[in-house]
Amino acid sequence: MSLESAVERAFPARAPKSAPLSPARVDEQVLSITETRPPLSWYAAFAVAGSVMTMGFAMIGYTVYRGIGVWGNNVPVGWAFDITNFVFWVGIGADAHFGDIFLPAALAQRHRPLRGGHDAIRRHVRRHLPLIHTGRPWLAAFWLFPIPTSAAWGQFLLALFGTCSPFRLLHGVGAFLVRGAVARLASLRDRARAARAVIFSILSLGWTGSARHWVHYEKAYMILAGLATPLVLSVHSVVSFDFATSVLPGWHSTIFPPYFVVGAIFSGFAMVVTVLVIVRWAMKLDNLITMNHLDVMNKVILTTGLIVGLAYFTEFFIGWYSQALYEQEMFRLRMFGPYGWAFWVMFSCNVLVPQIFWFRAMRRSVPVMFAVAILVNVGMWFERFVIITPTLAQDFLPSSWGMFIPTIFDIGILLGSFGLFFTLILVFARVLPVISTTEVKMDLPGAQPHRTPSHHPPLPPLPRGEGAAAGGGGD
Amino acid sequence: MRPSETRVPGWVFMMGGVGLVGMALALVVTGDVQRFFANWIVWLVVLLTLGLGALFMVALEHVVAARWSVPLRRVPERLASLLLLLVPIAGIGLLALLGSRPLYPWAAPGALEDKILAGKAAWLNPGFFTLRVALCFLLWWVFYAVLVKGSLRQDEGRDAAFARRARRHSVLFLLVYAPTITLVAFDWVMSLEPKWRSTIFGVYLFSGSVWSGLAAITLGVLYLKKQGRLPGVGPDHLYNLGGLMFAFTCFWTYIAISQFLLMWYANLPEEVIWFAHRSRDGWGMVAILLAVVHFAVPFFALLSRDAKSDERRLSFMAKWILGAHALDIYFLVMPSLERGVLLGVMEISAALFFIAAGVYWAARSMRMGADMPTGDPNLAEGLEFHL
Repeated sequence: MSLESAVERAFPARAPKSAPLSPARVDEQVLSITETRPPLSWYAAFAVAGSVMTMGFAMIGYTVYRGIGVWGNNVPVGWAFDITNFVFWVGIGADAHFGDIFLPAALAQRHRPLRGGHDAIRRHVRRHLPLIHTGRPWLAAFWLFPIPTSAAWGQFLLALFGTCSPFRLLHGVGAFLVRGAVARLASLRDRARAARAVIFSILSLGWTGSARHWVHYEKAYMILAGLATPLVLSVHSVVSFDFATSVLPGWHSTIFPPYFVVGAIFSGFAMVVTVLVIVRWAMKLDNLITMNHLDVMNKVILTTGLIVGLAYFTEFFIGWYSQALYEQEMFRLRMFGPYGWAFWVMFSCNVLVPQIFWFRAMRRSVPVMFAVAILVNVGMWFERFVIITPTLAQDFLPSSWGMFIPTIFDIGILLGSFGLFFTLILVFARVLPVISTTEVKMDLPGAQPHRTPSHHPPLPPLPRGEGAAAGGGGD
Repeated sequence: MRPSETRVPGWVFMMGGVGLVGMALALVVTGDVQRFFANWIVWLVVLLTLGLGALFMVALEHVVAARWSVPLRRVPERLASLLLLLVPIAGIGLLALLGSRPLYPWAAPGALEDKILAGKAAWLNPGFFTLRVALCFLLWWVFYAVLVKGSLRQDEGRDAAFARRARRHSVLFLLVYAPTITLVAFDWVMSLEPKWRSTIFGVYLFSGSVWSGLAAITLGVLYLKKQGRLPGVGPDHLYNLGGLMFAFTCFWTYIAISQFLLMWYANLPEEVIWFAHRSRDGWGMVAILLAVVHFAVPFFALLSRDAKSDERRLSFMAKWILGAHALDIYFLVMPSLERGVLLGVMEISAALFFIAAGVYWAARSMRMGADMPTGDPNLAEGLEFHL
């Protein structure tokens, strides 16, 4: 008995890497997850995440009842954890949109399975934060969200309005179609019985998989992806306007829009890796989410981390170059002021830690990437904190300087947002397919008949040395 | 047709000659050294960003292991040789730091009496400036030699390990490219108004660099294709070039809007002065023209799917984009003189001369090596590329 067959016998659920995937196998492996009872570990995780989420909601409830005075916010520091959390989660969410639009384009064929992971991420955790940070959410709803009344319409000049803007509605509807969710839901429907069949029938919108459906689907996909691309870039750019349109040194910097967008990709990919590693392990999906996928994701983390680092250095250089007193002093305080420790946490996690991904072995080690991804998330949360809080705490007039000290409610709501996120991820992972099976199937051999060379005009004579497989593929 | 038979058309020499004489005459007659150097810097930056954009595309292909662009890669490799032509041009450009009224105000005698400029003197001084320029060129030359010359050696079958090595070196080049293109932006362009600063300025020039590099690549590809020198390169390859030009049209606009919007909104005197210089004395019309020429026209012209692989449309738009890029740099540099819109014999002559020089160099470079990287193991796969 060979080693391979021994392994296969020992881990029957884990399809061996060499086994050819067929559409039926992919469906069976991924869709059956939603049809079985979750393991005990799922209940344990759900209990923890759900409890933290409930605690967070209780704290939000108390905040709404008493007012935002229960937070540590004070006179110089009017924004602190509330907007930090908001920007953090928008970044995570915005990246999920990136994944939807750019992964198919940029990483193309080999990386399609990843999009399931991105799907999981884009549960909205973020909208409540701008709403509750006003202290009177029932009023704020009128000017933050596009509620069509004649009395109160959104404050278009308020950048925060832009971040909750009406385009989201378009996106919410379009996203459903764009992600090929319809076809996946139809696969689920075809396997389901009784109530499940009814639910998935409705959700899959009568999808039959006919050629005609696919033609419409592909068209809608193109159009929505085209419309969503500027939307995606604008989301985090507009978030950066929350700060950059002000005249505060440390906030007013022209590089903020692209820098926030890259930061969003950076933190988003880190969060996807965090979740993906758990999902892959818990659901035994390592034949579909391969090490090559994770390797590529880690390269994206390294690349975006470097770009974020370049933005930090540019900001610091221009801070010195400006020869403006307040600019220079602000950057000095950022590094060595009362919140200096937060700056160094941010700098270490975002700039130094990802450098470990220069090594292939590190990019392909699950424990290492899990640790790095978590540290990057920590770093990116601190990045927003470092931008927001110290800038407000020490501004132009030393006599009006202050400090922000988080209360238990600040910390509770922050934890609660993670609880909400992971609760939704856990629910999602059991109810809907975690991997975009449709697109995995599109990549299987034979799925793309026009890719076979026979349809091409005759090729010019082959170059020498085509056998040398030293190509840059790397994997 | 063999590569070595690429001929440089006669009109290029005519144009260059007329331009050179015109520039010399305008300089002698008016004695306006500042204006001469302003034009010189405009074209230095135009050609430099273009050449770097081409080398960027070469490196990007290696880094992401792109296949579709392998058959086209020789074109950006050849265009990157522009960096060699730019060494003397940049050398002459450095003379703009000299004289009693130099183009760069921080280099003027007595500039250090200004408190702000004195504070920046550690960075903005002729010696360090020259050193940075020299260092940048040295680094670019090293990577040009490694990536382009290595690729030529690969064709001759003498360097089988090139593909793997090129990937590593391309990563290093990208690490060099990002800060050096930022330096080009900060040093050559931003310091023309030394009290003004914008953190996004490097990204701004990066967007124009890749945009113009892509346009030049497209023109080169179409030129070779027309002569039948790129067999197997079809509409799908062209589509990708068209798509990338479209994408960078949008990207430039996004960066330009970000810079303008944030400065306009905050309305800080030390920042908006730069835009004041670019909205008064006729420059406001140029700004609007730039928005139309640099964004609206290429955006709509390249929007549809068919347009992105239509050879005639692409050829026209690639030339248009190169013109728009030159207009963009002109708009960044010239208003710093605070003399209104300058468009006379000097500007036209400079344009003629540098366009001729660029075309001459690019056409000559088309003789370098085979038309396709025939030694690349991925060439066959690249030729098979279909959308």
